Amino acid sequence: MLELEHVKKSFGRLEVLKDVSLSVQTGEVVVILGPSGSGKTTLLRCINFLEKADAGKLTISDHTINLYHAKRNEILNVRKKTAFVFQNYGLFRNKTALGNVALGLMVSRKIPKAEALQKAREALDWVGLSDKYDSYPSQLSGGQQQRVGIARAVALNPEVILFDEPTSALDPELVGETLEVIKRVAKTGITMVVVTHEMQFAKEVASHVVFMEDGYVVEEGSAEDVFSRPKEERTRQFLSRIIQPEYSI
Amino acid sequence: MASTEVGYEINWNLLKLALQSGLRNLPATIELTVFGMAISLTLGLLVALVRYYRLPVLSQFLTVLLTLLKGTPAMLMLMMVSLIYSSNIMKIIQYFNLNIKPADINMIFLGILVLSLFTMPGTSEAFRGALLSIDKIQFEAGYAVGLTTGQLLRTVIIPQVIPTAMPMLMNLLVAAFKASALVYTIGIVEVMYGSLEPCAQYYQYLEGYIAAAAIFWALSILMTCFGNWVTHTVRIEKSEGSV
Repeated sequence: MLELEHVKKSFGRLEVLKDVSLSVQTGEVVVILGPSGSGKTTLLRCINFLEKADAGKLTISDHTINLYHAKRNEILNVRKKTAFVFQNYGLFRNKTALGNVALGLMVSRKIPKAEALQKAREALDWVGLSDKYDSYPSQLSGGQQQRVGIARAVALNPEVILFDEPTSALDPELVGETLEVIKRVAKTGITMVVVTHEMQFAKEVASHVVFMEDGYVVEEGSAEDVFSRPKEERTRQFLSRIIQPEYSI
Repeated sequence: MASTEVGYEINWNLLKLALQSGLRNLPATIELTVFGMAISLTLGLLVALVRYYRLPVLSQFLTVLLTLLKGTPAMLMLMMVSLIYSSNIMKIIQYFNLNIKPADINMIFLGILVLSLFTMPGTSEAFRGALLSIDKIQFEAGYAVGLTTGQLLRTVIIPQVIPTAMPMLMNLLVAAFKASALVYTIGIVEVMYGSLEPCAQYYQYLEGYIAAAAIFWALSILMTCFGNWVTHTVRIEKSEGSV
């Protein structure tokens, strides 16, 4: 359904993605794990051209395009098939919660205003923000803002939603409510690619896990396999440091 | 040794005449300011966008042009434009075979042109500064929901740029209003010209200048209050933009 082949990306001299290939099946929740600087976020951003890869191919719903030579309308088409949830929410500051969700529906998807607003209200209800339609981002907590961000992505009804560390910027107390909403999204059967550091959450939602380091995919497999029987020593090491059976001081 | 001699006797009647004549021509001053600013804002926003996106060639060209404009005294610009105009207007009339005399043409458009050029570096820098202050994520979020650059600018970016640039734009409005007085030197009839007109009969000009100053003061204070009100009313949170 979504396939990346030989993606490469450098920032100046720093090679962030050396050669990454990835395949996502319809309905799968793919969780990308790895230490900071391993290229997870960059990979995600290359999928919808927030970052322009130096090389590689992207196939999305049987449409293959070159990530480097993509034309403007090809990029727009990919963006219309995907939705992105940002680490720092990325809500439009000049729009209310409702406006944030409805904007893409009206302007990009050309849905009539009344219908778009109805869909936006439903999406906000669904993430538990029925009382915040008219609040501006500056009036919402981080957790609420991120739920608006998720509602915005879901309302677009994309083929795949990309989550870029959706809880990293949140106050620890607000992480839970946001993860609950993302779990609900996963249950709807929509295809998701999630970059996260929340291991417990990853274990709960992932159907497929990709472990990245230094611009390469070190290991991938079903969530069950990677978490309980990692093949690579590096994966084992990473998981053992992060997932501890108990916290002890 | 006390002197009872006063250097200059104010002619109150003349002052009144000068005020009346100045106020009669206030619409022309407002026309100069409003149209000058409107053109300056439109051009300024376009220039700011070209420079923000660093469009090749055009961006460098505009940077040089802005530097030149910034370094040109308003008076000099006015004189140059008016000389270029008066030495070419006959040719233009003949070329297009127009049935008009140069004296029939209202010169106010020259004043508007000069005022807009004079304030344009300021408006474009105000807009560019505001553009640069917008977080990159606002652009990314727009692209991620599938907006084109044009749609993104129209619905998200410009509605955020305007409130941010507003305090500076309001200052520039007052500056343009005051600078509009210069155009009387090329014979455009506005507040300054009007205020000085009755003085010619008396060979006494101070009254005319006082009258003009009073009118400019009053209007500047009003405009500053208006500017403060606008700055406090127009906020990013209320700036929905067109959809």
